[in-house]
Amino acid sequence: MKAAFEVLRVVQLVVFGGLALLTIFRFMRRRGPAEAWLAGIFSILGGIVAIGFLISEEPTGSLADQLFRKSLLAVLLLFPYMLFRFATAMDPAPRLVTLISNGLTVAACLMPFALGPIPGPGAVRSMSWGSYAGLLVVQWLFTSVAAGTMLWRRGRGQPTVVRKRMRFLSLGTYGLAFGIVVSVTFGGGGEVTVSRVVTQLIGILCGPLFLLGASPPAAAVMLWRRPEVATMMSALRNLMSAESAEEIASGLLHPAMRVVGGRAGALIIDGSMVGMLGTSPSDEDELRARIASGSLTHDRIIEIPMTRGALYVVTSNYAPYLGMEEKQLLEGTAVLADLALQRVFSLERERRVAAEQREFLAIASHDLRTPLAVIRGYTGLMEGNWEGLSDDDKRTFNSTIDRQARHLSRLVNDLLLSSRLDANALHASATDVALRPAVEEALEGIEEDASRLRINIPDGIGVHVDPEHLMRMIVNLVNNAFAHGSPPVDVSAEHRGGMVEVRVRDHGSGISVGDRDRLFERFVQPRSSARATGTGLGLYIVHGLVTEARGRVAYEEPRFGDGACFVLSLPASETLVIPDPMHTEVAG
Amino acid sequence: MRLMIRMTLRAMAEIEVTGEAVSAEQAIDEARRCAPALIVLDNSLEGAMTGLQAASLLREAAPDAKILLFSAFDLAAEAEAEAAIDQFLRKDSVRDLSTTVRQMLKDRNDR
Repeated sequence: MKAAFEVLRVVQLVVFGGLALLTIFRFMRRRGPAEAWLAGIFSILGGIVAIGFLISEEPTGSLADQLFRKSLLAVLLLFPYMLFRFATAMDPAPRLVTLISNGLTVAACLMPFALGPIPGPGAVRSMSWGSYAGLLVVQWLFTSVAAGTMLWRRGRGQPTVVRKRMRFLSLGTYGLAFGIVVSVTFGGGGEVTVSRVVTQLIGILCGPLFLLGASPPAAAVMLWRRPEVATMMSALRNLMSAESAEEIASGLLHPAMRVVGGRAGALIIDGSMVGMLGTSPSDEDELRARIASGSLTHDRIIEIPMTRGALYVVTSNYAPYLGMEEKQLLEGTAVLADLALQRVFSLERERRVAAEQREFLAIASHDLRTPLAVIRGYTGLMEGNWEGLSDDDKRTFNSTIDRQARHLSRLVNDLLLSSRLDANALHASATDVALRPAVEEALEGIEEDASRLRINIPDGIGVHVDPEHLMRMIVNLVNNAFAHGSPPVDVSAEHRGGMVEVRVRDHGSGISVGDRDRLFERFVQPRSSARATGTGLGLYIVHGLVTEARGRVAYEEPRFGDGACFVLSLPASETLVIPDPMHTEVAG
Repeated sequence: MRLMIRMTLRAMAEIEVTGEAVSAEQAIDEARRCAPALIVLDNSLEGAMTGLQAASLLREAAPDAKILLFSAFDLAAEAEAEAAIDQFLRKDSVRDLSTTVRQMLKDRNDR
């Protein structure tokens, strides 16, 4: 029996010493709050077991020895108390329970120092030490049962790994408490009795339970995590066939929350909330409020950055302590969700481009067919009725045919120019150009009524740009103003910071906010128009040409009144050109 | 375009052009006023309403008129679906305008 007892003592030392080292090693690797708590708790236990193994059971009676042994007793009692504090660190216990636990622990730690010498094993206990033994049992039992119960009950609803760890810790705590009760109750004095052997065995059996709770091996964690992994695999299969960001959100949030025992989750893409899910309306409201206020730095909020946004999950109180592996599973899933989102965006882009191209083709066909129809119509009229047509009619028809042919030519040029811009094959010959005469020449024939087209460009303003391109930009902006706005159309210019700003402004209803962000893209038609007008290339061409000229074009709200206003910023010519045919001044 | 259509129709001895309009609202007023036998309707009109959208209102304004949708857009399917439109002619077939108008009026008179 004695030999078996000694063997068990050694085994117990190995078990709890090993557990202490494992938890310390885990803390040094991870530095998390749970790792710190558990390293502290099991260091106490392992340390006490090691010291108890090394020192004699019989006190020497010296003051130093007494103080040392009483201190060991106090430290030992910190073990169940620290477990209790660990359990309540994640979720507070009822106030009364905490007060009782605190009071019992303080009393049990300090009381030995007020008593006489510790009786050795087998010695008769005085009444005070007998009372103290009772207090010790009560303290250990109360704090252990409180900690064990909290850990067990609060494991409910947690991810599998977290739940298993909490429950193994709980079982180990109950087991050790039982062992303490057996030890104190049945004693055995200095002899190796059955009760002492049983106490050792109980302690040894609690070791693996604590191990699985405090520092579970990777194989156990993998096994426990299988339900969550299966959930995520199923979610991933659906993600890859999702057709929209909302579908991805609805397929991702529930499994993401389940993996980390989350209470709410949200997927934010491009600043907009694409999906939100919570276990209760209050959880959803809390997350929504945090996202709106930007206060997302919190222990319980996991943020997984994604390419165009982030996934947020509000976890349970225990996840930051026990569920870091689950966060890694979540991060891996978010990467795949990101890929699925990229696929969805790509599909949406393709659909949008295809739709725009279809619309462009329809509009281009219309715009090309219309002048052709006019030309064919008039030539048909002339063919069938030449003798019956008056000279005036013939002149009118010819003029119309000529105008439509020129219009057709401009359309074809726009299409070709657009293609060259796409292919970066545009050739520009920039030169100093007097702005006012260039604008007047460009706009000649567009609008005869001077009250509808007002040019207000001072003399002496010059720009450095390809003259043909300048003409095209001005014509496109003015045609746009007449097509989508209302007259009068004002064209003005001024120097500003080394550039020349040319403004083309109409007096229509302006451009709605929703249309502004894609104004200079190809094939874009204003949504506010009931019908599409033009090929949608005008502003795209202006943007391409002004960029080539190292300038820029932008939409701005008119300073006064309604309407749309476009601002061309062009490089000012360094040589000021005044285009007076009578005399020419060059000022530099 | 309107001038060209007017000239084409005027060249037909049996046709008298009784009205023109630039917008759907104006066309409806004209149709109500002059009760035409046939309306040549473009889809691209001034204002918010397109020709297709205006067709049913024109039918109400001139119940006896035939309506020919004449557009450079490919609107054959839309014209087929719109009960108020009797026929569609694409503008690149402009030289068939006279024949088409003549046939539609013949069908109307035979009814």
